[in-house]
Amino acid sequence: MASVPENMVDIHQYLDQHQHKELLRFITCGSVDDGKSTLIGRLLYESAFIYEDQLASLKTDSKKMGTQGDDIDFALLVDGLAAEREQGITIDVAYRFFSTDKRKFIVADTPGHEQYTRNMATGASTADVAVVLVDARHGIMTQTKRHSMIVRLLGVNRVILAINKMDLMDYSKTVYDGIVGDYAAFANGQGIDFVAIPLAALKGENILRRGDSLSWYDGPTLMGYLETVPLPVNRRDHAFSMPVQWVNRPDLNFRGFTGQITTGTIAVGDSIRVLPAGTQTRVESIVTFDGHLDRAICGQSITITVADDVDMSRGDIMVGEGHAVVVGQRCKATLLWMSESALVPGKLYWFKTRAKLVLGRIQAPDHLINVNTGATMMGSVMQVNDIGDCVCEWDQPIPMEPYTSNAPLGSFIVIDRDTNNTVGMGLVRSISGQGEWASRHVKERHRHWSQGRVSVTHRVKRNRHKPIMVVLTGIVPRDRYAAVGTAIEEALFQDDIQAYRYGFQFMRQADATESSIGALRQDMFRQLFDIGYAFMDAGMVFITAIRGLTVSECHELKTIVDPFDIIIVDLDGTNGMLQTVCNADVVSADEALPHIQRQLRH
Amino acid sequence: MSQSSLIHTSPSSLTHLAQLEADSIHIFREVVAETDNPVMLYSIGKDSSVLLHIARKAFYPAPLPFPLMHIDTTWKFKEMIAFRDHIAADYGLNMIVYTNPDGLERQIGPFTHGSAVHTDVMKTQALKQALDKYQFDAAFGGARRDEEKSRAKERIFSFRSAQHRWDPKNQRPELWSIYNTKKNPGESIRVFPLSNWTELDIWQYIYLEKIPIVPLYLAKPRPVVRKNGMLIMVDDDRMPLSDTDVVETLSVRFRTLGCYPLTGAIVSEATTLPAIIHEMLLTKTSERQGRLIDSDGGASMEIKKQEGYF
Ligand SMILES: Nc1nc2c(ncn2[C@@H]2O[C@H](COP(=O)(O)OP(=O)(O)OP(=O)(O)O)[C@@H](O)[C@H]2O)c(=O)[nH]1
Ligand SMILES: [Mg+2]
Repeated sequence: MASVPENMVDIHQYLDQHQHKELLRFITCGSVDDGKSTLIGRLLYESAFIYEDQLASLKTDSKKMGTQGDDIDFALLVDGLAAEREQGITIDVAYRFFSTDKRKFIVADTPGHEQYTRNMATGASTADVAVVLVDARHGIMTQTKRHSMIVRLLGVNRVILAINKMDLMDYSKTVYDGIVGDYAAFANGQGIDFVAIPLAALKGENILRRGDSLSWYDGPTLMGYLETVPLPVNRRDHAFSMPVQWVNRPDLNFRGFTGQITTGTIAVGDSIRVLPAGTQTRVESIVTFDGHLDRAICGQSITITVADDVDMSRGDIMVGEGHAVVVGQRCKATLLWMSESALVPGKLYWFKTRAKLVLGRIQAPDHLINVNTGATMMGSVMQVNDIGDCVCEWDQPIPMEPYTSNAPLGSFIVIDRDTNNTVGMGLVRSISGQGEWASRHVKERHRHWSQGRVSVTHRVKRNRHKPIMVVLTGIVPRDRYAAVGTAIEEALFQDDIQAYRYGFQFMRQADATESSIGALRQDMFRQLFDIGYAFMDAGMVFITAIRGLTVSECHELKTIVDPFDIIIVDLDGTNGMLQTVCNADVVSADEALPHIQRQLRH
Repeated sequence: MSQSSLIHTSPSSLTHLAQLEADSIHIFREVVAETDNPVMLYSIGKDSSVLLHIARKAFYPAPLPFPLMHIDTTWKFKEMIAFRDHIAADYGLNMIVYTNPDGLERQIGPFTHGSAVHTDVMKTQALKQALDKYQFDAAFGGARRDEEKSRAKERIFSFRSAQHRWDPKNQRPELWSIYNTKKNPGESIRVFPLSNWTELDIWQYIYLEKIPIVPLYLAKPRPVVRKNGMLIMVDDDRMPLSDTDVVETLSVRFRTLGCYPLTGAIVSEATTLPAIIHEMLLTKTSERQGRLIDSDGGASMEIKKQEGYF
């Protein structure tokens, strides 16, 4: 424990020092029964963070339910739930607080059982450093690797490999070296940087004080390392970003946008952009209860008023110059699945980001990660505790950044709509900007294009109708697309319209199992849209079918066939979103023909 | 209105307290943005004082967008009630005071019915009744993880069933600071914005931010009697005194506040906040030791929480 001042003069100095001490958040993790809770209990005990009344009840509890005969079972200090004490295991993460003269610490003691991996992830998501425990008798286990992988995924770059229960292996350096070697073989492939420390948690060796029996080890003690390990870099030096959390509008004279700054700094007068809209404005004032501020930094919760009357609401993100936030509707993300019911590709889930709640779908995983080897492996089903890379898609464009460059804006949770449970966590790898490839493709096409002397305008005059693209969508049996499409083609033909139904139908599998389905699909879309564009450039009506057209595909379609018009025929009545979100022209199957005819002569 | 705060001392990084405050503000705003009918449970103690102070910061310049609610067991210290009414008037708060009418009728009290029955009827049952009556779907509380071993396990957003029960073995994962506030029918959320604050943080924050607290926290000569090894203050004449009870006037203060017959005082000369903090740093017992209700059985707090105790 931090030394306590003797007199009153020192108390102010002590408080001042206490306030300015750095805070380190760490977790203990690793396989079942490796001694994580014992380690934390012992550490709290030795650093005098246990009060006398707590120690007294610890002693009684140890006799009653402990594993240590008449000695103290230190794990009982942290295993605070009745079920944990009865079973002698950790079920959920415990948060404990202590400080030394040098630093303050928040430690999360996490459970080793695979069944409770989601609770381990809960602890790890807010940690700076991870202590991965290993039982010297058993060496590296699958859980050791799974936890290491989760820790690495979450961007915890400092790992301490604590090789525990050395007392049970005669404090053998050979045993220790063997385990360090095994772990290094795994960790190097994963890009995990670690230091190793031999320990006997139960006996308090190498926690605060050095173990006499471990004289061959000359590295730091666990506490020695925790007190000096560099803290992760502050996100202050990034460009400014802040999700709008709540609009503060007490009366007509005040409209403030509240939020906690996720990266960078902001000052009065700075120009900012509001995403996803892209509107530009200026910071007029930074309002807090404690007075107006000239500037505010990453981590602060503030209220901003802006110079213009811009449209901004919860979930929008304010960004400053030089920001790397991308507005997109689709991303590639690494997912950790946390529910007993497997991920259902294509099912609607809630996604909650730091900024807002949106609806979306997850495609079948591109691949899963084998936690034992770290290698990627094929797999189309994501079960509980699986880690894998998936494409996620939302019903609206949202501003995001890859997790590695801006963790708060690159993370999300997945919520099941039936149970309301948090069933997955996601880390954004890359974001496909809205129709990004589509606009690239249009530019490319333009570069290679040679325009003839007969233009679309001439053809419209000759045909006496506009070219239009008709897309049949919805999720209905295959022959229904053909039936509706054929009927429209025929009717238009009778009406002297140059109409052509393209027989190729894009029938995506609802339960796509193909691994690189994303890239493949994009290829097929490009071809389909290009053919449509060519037909319309030739002055014709082009009819096609795309099963389950998504909002982002609709955006891409619009970009690629621009300036031509599109009419979407909604075969199952579930595609209103295409109208509200993409501003597309959506009609039901019944209204389709008269609507198309009207538009053609328009 | 606004005075400059002492906790934001550096232009380039946040102090520990400034960071804790900012995170708590984020939690307050998240609840207000995502729930329909939140309430703040106000116990009049030091943690509630900090909670209220941070809530006012979170929504400034708007008034608090939710009411406060005090569950009055009718056995609180007189000075607590006076303080509550004064704060409510001073800050213009919407303060709901609720007492279990059934318990009132049956004249439940700690001296006549014992601490367990009293706490269950006047506190736990009363709270459930009040939450049902007003249909609150989220309730802020000032609990901290460093208080007690089952609290150390609780999420910041902690769900309660329609029967107000906590299921500690089945808590939702809580990742980063992304909070899932989706509730099943009948469920409600208890939200603890001070989860990661320690007792020292609370006192230091009160000191630096000049937050008003009930004077009972500071030492003063007060009339006390010894009961079950605790010093109980004679706050009113409902206290049964036998011939062997000696009322002494001692300089005492309280580390936590609750119902006066159940709250032990400590002998102290600490009349200022720095003096309190100093004593706290030297003390060898936890703050919960002064509470009768926590000490009956190893998992007692967890069981009470499961039954709906805050
Ligand atoms: N001999 C010896 N036993 C130890 C040591 N550390 C822990 N143990 C024992 O190992 C057993 C498991 O310890 P815990 O601390 O509960 O293990 P854990 O890793 O927290 O377990 P889970 O949280 O359930 O995964 C207990 O019986 C401990 O007393 C040690 O250094 N030496
Ligand atoms: Mg454990």
